[in-house]
Amino acid sequence: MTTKKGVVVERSNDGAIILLPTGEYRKINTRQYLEVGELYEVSSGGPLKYVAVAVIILALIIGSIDYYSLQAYANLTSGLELGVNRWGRVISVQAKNTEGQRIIDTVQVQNNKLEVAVEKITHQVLKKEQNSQDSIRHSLNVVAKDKNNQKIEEKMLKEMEKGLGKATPTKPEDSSDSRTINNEIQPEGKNDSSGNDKQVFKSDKSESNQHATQPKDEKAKLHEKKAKLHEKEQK
Amino acid sequence: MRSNAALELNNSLNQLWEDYRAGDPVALDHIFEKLMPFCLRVCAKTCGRYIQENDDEASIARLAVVEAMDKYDPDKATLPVFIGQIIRNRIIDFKRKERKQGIIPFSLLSRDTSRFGQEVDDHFYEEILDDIARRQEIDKLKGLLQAFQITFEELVTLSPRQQKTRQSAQQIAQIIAGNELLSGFLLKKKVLPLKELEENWLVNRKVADRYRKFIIATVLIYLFDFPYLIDYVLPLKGGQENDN
Repeated sequence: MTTKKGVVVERSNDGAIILLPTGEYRKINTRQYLEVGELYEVSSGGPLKYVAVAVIILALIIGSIDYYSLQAYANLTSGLELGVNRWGRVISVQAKNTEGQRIIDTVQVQNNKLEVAVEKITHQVLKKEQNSQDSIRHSLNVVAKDKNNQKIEEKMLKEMEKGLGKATPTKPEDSSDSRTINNEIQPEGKNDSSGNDKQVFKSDKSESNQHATQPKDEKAKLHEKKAKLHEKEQK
Repeated sequence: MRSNAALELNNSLNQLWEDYRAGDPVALDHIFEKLMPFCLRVCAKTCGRYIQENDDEASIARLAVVEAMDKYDPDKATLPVFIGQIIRNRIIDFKRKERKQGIIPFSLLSRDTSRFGQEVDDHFYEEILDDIARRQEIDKLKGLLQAFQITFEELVTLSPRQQKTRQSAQQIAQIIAGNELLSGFLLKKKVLPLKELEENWLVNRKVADRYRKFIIATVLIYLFDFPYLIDYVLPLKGGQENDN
């Protein structure tokens, strides 16, 4: 807040009139002892600046509270549980076993995007265990704090898969695998798409069964026809 | 600016002090005449309240002036500063004595008495001299404004709020003050030469008419000798030089 030194041009019992350096005449209320001709410091900006500062502080407080409020838990391999906020940032890391603790000690993922965090952790895991790629994929799981918030689960899963994809370059033959991972990592009854996939898969099977059963029916029909002709001949 | 008032007073007081030391009986009266506003200000600043000539503090100040005249040494300090120091010390002594005796005026009960323990430098007395010089200018301006039926109270409500508008009003005032015909018209007729300004100076009539009282007050500060106040009403320097 800037202060200006004005000169007192008139005084009364409850205040004074000040001529400010900008040429403005302003009335001030003060009980302070003032005499005409004396210099008086007037603070410009007034309450509006206080309000602005208060709003900024409030916004910062609300923002930081919101930032550190957990929206979902992302479970990874090695017993790692990442707490994620609404912006997909990792705000807490918890190890469920010694292996997880070892990873936490070596990799810093706090405040990273979930995608980046998953990538870093996967890199770290793959360094030590060569064949753990599938195990990581199978153990990916997201649980929203609010059980009805399925959108965040889907969003986080996508990000985790992206991170995993960056850490482990996918091979063309793996495409079918990823679909199965997608099915497996969904919590039960939470992802409709997995159900649809299964249905599609099931319907494919039934079609292939149909194709397989078709020649059998024809053979039976031929058998029946042959039997009928044989009966007729005997007659 | 600060040194002007102090120097002027110092020179005249030195002359009077020499006369007093030479035994001139009238010199002390002249000194009182010149110094009384300063003495009352020092008393007021020391006590933190308004002091009038018939207050006890004013009598103490008079005695302090006589004491200062006898003890003054030109090599040690300037006369106004020395007188100011003596007055301040005597007032503080008086207040302490009052407190010891239990004679505490009601006015003092609610006030901050810690001021008596505070030390002040020479700057303090020079500022008081500046305040007095500024007051003289303001009193003179007030008298001039009365002729135009303008009060400071009115100027509060009639001052342009926007800085841009204020600047253009101040520029109009500068035009008037810089032109003898326009300023002569204003001083004679007590109104702004709006037609002239609009036709010859392409001044915005709306601004000139709406803020005429503010413009007149500013013109008067430009026209008459107000070295302290002029810095406050200059369109470009105003708000920059005196911000500290």
